[in-house]
Amino acid sequence: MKDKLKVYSIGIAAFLLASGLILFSIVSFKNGTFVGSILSIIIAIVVLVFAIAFLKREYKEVKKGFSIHDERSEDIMKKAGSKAYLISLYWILFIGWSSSNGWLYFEDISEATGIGVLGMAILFGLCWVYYNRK
Amino acid sequence: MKTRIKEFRAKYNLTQEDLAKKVGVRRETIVFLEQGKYNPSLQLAFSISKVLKVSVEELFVLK
Repeated sequence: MKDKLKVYSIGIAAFLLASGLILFSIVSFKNGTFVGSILSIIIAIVVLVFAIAFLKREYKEVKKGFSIHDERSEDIMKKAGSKAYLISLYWILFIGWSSSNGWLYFEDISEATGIGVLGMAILFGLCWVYYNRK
Repeated sequence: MKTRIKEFRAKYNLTQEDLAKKVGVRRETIVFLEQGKYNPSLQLAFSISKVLKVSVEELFVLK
């Protein structure tokens, strides 16, 4: 029951993230930022596709009576989290450096923060996939 | 680390799923253990050795 709740929670979180990205895309499109709009839609689709595949697999495992977490999955989360945190520092530095150099232009601080957080989330996802396959 | 889990599992006619359920881990963990891609905790190593009725030294070999 607890594991089923975890699967549902992950599903809701993925749905909310995808909805947020789609809303962001609509707002960007109305403001005339087409690149940002298309990028958001692509990320939303990727999130949804991965979430559906992941949830389908996890739901099957939970139904068979397996736990959603064990020592290996927790180990992977710890490794992926620490590596993503370390790389994120360079990512944030890159955003700060390139925006002060004029390579990247942000309307306001919230846009820069959004890009930073999105980059961190993507980095965590990539690190998780890397350690899960290693 | 090299393991002989597959060999002992076959001896008792246990599938990866059966063994995973008995020791309380996911099936993938057993897959990665058998491939030598994951080093288990002492607790898991002893749980597996107890299920397969062998000593830890027989089950896990340091390469």
